[in-house]
Amino acid sequence: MTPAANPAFADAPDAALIVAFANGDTAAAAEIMARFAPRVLAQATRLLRDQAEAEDVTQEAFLRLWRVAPRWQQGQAALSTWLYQVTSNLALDRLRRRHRSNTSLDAVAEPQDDEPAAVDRLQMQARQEALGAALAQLPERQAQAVALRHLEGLANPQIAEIMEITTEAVESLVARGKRALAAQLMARKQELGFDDD
Amino acid sequence: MMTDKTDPKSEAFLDALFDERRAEDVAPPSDALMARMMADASAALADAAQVATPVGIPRPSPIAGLWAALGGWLGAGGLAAATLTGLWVGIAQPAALDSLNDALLGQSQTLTIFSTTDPFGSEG
Repeated sequence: MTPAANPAFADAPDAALIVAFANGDTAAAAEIMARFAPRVLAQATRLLRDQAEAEDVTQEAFLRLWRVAPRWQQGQAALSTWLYQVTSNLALDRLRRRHRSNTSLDAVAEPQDDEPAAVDRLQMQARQEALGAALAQLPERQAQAVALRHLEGLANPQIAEIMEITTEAVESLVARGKRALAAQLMARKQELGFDDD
Repeated sequence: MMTDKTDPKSEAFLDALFDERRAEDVAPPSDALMARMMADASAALADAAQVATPVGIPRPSPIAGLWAALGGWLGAGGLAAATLTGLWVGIAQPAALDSLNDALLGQSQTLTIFSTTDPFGSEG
């Protein structure tokens, strides 16, 4: 059974929770999970579009946190930043593995059903599958920057902190990533249900 | 010169794809997931406690332990000096000891409480 978070921890800074956990307090772990597990799971889900895989990534990200907690340095990256970074790496890793043996976007299933609502739904599925496959084919840093910017909606300075690079480098990675995505996906625009006007 | 901009049509197309992805439902963490993560947390704490009392580090040999108990090289130097002094005292001639006594304590006096000719006092 999951222990309830200790109310005394409700206002504690994230770093203090890590220290408390490293000193053996599992209620601190419960508080950390309450604060960050929903966001980590959402980030993994948006990249992977697969609940089971997203849960695996979430569990793995937190497992890494539990293991690193005794060596957590006061003043190092914020827990939130660290989790964005680890989750992004883990989820992109899985996405790339998933598409490694299936590198052609043509392999993404075509809509089969004729019902209008069903066609829309299946086209949406196909579009998002195509987006995932295209993201998986980007160089890793470009994919990470694009995902943090356009799937998580983070600002460039925050992405710069997560990726430990300059804001200018983030802008460049995002722009190059988007050009590469466009090059892969624009040819299939109509097929994926977008009007070519 | 290479531009960092995507063309407006591509930009709009990609934005539509990203918007669609962000609008998808995301389930909150299930109780089962939270329980698995909490079990991981407890196991990590147990592992960390084991690391604090390591079992895989080889114990020092008895000789190494004795060497350490003697104080290492510093202790061994003192021990060697004491041993050599003892050895010298043991094998040195009495005259040499006398001269050492004289040097350390001044002129020595010999006190005889038994006659050397009548050690048992039988002559009264």
